[in-house]
Amino acid sequence: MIVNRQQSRWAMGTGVTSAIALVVYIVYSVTTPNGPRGGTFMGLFFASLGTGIIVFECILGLRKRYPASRLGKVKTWLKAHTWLGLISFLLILLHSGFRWGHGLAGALMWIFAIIVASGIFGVVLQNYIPRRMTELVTRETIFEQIPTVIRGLRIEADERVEFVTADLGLEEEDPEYVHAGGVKQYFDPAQKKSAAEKVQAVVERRKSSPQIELEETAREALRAHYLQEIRPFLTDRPISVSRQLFGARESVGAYFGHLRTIMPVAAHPLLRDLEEMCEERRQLMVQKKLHLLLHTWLLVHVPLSFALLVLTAVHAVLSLRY
Amino acid sequence: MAKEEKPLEYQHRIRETKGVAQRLDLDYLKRPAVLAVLRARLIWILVGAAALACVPLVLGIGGTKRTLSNGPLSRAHGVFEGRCEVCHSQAFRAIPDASCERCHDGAAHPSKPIDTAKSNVTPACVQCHVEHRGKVLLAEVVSGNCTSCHANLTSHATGVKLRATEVTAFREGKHPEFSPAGRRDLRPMQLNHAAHMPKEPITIRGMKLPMKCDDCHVMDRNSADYAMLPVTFDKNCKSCHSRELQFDVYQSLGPDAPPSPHTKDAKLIQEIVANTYRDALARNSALLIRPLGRDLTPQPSAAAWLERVTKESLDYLFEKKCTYCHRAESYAVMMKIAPIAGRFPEPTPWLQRGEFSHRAHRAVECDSCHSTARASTKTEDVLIPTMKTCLPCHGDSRASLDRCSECHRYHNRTIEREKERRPTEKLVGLLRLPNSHSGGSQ
Repeated sequence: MIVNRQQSRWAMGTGVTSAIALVVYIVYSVTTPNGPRGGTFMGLFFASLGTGIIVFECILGLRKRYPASRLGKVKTWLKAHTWLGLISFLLILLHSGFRWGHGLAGALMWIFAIIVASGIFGVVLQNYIPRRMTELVTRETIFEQIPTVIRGLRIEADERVEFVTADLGLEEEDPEYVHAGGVKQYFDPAQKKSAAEKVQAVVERRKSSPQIELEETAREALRAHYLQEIRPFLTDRPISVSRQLFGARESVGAYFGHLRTIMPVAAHPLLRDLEEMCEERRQLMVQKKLHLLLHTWLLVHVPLSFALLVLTAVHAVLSLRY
Repeated sequence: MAKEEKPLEYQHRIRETKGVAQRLDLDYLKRPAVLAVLRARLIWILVGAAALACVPLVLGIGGTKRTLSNGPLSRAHGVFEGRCEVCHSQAFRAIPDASCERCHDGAAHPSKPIDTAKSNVTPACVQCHVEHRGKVLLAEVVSGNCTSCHANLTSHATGVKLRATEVTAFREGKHPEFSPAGRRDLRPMQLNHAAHMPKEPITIRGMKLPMKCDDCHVMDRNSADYAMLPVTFDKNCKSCHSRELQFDVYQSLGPDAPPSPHTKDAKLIQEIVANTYRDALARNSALLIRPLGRDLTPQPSAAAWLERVTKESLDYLFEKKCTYCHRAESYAVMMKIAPIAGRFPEPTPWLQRGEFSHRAHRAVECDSCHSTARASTKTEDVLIPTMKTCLPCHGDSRASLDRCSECHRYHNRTIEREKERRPTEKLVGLLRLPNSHSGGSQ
């Protein structure tokens, strides 16, 4: 959720509601001889309001599961979730008389504080990371597709390096999946067979002998650089040495600048392509990191919210019992 | 000759939309997102853990009830920690007074028999004595509990005879002046504080003056509040004023004549005086011929001598000696009341509605509060401090010493039976020691 001027009414509403609640609390605490407590009428009033909002906060997931529901826009629900969540914490503090509590009550306060803190952290991240990702990751892809894209980069790099080194002796499994770009259709089976044979012939020629003439030493040097440093980076989980070697755009540029210096000019087009692929892989690495940062807080925020709901119910019943 | 094949042309990498799209797997939507799956599993794990953690709470297994407490109990109730049902005897209701009255006597308000007003509503015990606030004294209630009625007493009670019906704080104008102010001490004594504590040092009858306050006013260190022990002749006056008990008006008994006892029983004094002379006459019959003052005529008989000497000694004692300290209308009046014990009741505290603790003030010099004592020349001067004396420390110091309960009690302790009970008696049936449960089913 992006916090911008469009939410000024929500912010103002939250501020006014909080101010009213505080004024009511001050009057209540001044007029109560023994000070504010959770078990008084006003304490229970604040608790009821706070708990009601907590329940509302928890059904946001349900609302998202039914996007076509007529119960208001999801966007509105999300705004309400954010701003009412802040009010609910204040109401619970008013309920407890700004005491943290002991035992179950103390645990509830800690859990609630963590939930609120993680929520605020999440809102801050949502306002910062997408913008930052646009700046840093120009080759962004769908998060779940990152392994597939990396595999495609690796296969493409292998094929291109084989233009210099011939067969690298690497076998890549070819899992079946539905390509998003579609598949070329042949209405004539003979035509399809002919096309496949042509592709196979090209592959065989590339693997059988180098297609770009280089000195033997340069060829071996390129093979070594590729197998030991570049290809390990084009995997799902590159080793730390590779991550450090290609950790920044400047590092990638410097590495391939050095290779172009020591390699003959005939290998330069290949090196430019490899550099481009390494840069894309690096950006995917950054994307993954930012994506996890953007969503990992939910692993704390959401499960703890439901645990809070259970504990709150028990706290309410047992506190009223005693 | 074999045809030489041209090498494959190296195609430069072009990143166009179709190529990028073909790298994607369209089935990814059918596979659950890792983070979403992880989140869902964590929800179930934490909800399950929370529910499991609550089972012992709901069932009250072990000491888990302690975790429901919203604060530690007061020191006096610490033995009931974890045994909520001792006080919380009714589910979903406030603690009934009956729970408190199992150990403590019930509320009796007003706290002093001199107050005859009757409050319209008796508040519940827990309304003033708020538990679960740590190691505090429950008796130290917040003043708001008192002022909720005493700020407008007439609307909360019937039969109000108090002068001040609008007491809101221990401040000038918000609390009445102490009742001794403006009153006179009408007890028939002739005590002169200024004479006992002159400004300039002086020695009288071998006693160095000025005296110190605690020469006469001694605190009872065995009492809770260090109450003042009564000032008695034998303990506090005799060392200087023993000659005020000398009754031997004609010096018949010689220099070793015993003094009269200091007692309120005039009849006893009469008997002792008479017996003393009788014994002296038995030991020395020559007393009969000795002149009695200016009367040189010998007494006709031992009985006549004894009667005259006894009578005149008593007259001398009661009219000359006793009146040195005691204000009496006449000996004859005093003699009509025999014994005279009970004529002047034991002194009652000047501060009848408040409770003053000398113990709490033992670090303070007496003069700091009883500032008029050294200049007082009359018995009727009431030397109890006025409210103004207390205010610098208790009212305006902001030292949290202006709670009503610092000086006043709510309950009428005089009719309580609590202090008569043995401590163990109160806890029978309530306090079960852990050892008594071992091996047994609950």
